[in-house]
Amino acid sequence: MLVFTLLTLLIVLGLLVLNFNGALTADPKFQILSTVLLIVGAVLCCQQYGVLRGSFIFLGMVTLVGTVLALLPWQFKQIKR
Amino acid sequence: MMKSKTIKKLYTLHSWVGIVTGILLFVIAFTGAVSVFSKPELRLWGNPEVRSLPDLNYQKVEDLVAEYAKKVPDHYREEVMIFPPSVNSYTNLTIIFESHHGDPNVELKEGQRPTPIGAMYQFDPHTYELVFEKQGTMDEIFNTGASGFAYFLVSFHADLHLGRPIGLLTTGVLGLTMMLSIVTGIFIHRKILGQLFTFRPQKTFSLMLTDSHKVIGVWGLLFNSVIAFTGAFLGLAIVVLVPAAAFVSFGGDQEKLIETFTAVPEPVIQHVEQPTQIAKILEHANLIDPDAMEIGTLTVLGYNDASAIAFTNVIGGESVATQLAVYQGSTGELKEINGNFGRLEGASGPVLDLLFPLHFGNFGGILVKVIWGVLGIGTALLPLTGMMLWIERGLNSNSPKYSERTYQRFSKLVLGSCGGIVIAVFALFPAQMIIKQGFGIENVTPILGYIFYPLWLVITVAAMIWPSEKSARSAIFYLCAAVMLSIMPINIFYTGSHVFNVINNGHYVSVGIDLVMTALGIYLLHLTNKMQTTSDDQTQNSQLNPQLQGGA
Repeated sequence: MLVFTLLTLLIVLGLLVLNFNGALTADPKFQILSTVLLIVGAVLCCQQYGVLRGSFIFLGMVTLVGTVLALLPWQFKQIKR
Repeated sequence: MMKSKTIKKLYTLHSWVGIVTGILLFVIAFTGAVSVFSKPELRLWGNPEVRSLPDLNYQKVEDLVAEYAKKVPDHYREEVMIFPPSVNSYTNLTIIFESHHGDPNVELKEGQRPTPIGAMYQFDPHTYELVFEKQGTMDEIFNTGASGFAYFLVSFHADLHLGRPIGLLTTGVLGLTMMLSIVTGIFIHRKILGQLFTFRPQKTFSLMLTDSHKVIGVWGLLFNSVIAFTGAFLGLAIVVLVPAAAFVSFGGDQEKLIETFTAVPEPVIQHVEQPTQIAKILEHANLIDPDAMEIGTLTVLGYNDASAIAFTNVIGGESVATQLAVYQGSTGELKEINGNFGRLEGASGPVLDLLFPLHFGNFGGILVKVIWGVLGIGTALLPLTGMMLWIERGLNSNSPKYSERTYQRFSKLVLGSCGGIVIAVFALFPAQMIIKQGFGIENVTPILGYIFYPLWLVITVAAMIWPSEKSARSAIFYLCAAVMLSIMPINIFYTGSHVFNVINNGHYVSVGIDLVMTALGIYLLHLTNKMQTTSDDQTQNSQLNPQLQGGA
């Protein structure tokens, strides 16, 4: 449960930093940060569920979290960076 | 860069494929999303008697096989199948003896294949007393099988209850059209990555539809591609691919082709009697992977012979695909463990092994099922938002291709057929419980058809003839919410399982389904009320505006 929570948190954070006012961020700092977070998430998932199964679970979770984040109402507000 | 003319052509193709197949795609995708939970979750909900199955005494099973093996003719012992009591197959402990070559006393005509025959014995899993027995052909024996709304839903998703080959061909072709829509969609929405998070519901309804169609499509690109490919394969494999491969390599003999690549080779019987270690094998299979979800059927070939082999499916665990564990029957030692298509050379075996779990989402417990179920709803929303977008653009266009009435009629058809299937699917829950528990009818499946199809048809027709589309939409949403909210009280009424006694009876799955359905029903009710209020406000504003303009 702890690993799953951590994994979800990593994916949510990894995708959140990619979003800049509804578009993919062009800032390399955020792109690198997102890549690192998602890679750590993928490794954690593979370590927890096995490489093959973990990869599919990770991809499924990224898809689900990404869709939900993109459709969430709070993201209409403009992000100021 | 692709020419704008080509993109325009691809856009037209994307639109028309979506318009023609959209409703069917929604139906298949939505029922598929619910079917992800068919085994064991929905079966547990619909069959209260299987909610708490006892642990099996493996030695007792071995003794029962030995006892009943003496009661059947020798040739019936060619294959022995043991089904532990399970939510997914038989709820009683079931032992089947099968003769592959039929009755040896019956003379066969030239070219005629023998009909496999056998005997089935079912035992109460608590007392191990015989509760049912049947002899006949294997087709007759396996007809004593699954029933209920979970099975009804899965078979509808697989072939729309049209059977082979038409049903499977239809769903297979729909998988192909979905792949075509995905490919054309990628080319026409070129700024895919840039629009990953673009969603502007506060602007116009049309823009909201465009954004949600893109967001769901882009994020779900990989998932939808996998589902479309595996769905097309599963639909077309049996009716097109296997017959074609058999025609090329096995003189048209499809059974021989399947046996060659999937079945465990039969042992050469040595006629040296040695007891088969059934208890030891079952115990070992249960411990192969502590993460495994379930042990399937144990099959023994050459029972009580020194050459006997036994094999069983292990579903779940670290490997995505179902594993086949093969044992030496006389010693109970594990010989090998590999995928069902492990005997195929090269990459094709592992790839084929992956197709099934990736489509069904049954490789990682409830976590993967929830992900697959929600993403499946997303897959269903793609054709729906696409069709709504086509209608919206047509209605708002300065030079529409069709009349306003045509767009409105199509909109009502989409609303009725898509809303109707959602209500009909959720109505299967109370229907199953009332028929089975209220009327005491065991074979529920045939009766469910008399509820499911008329309900779907009535809602579709009602939406078509309803004077206002807005009120038809509200009525459908309210009805859907009412059906969802009825699920928990009906379960409590017939089974007594609820959130306050769930710790004592352990019925977490059925109570969990009740809670999810209730939460969804409440949310749908809230959403419908909100839509109604917004719609009323808009109507009032449009009535006030001309007066204000007139006053000014």
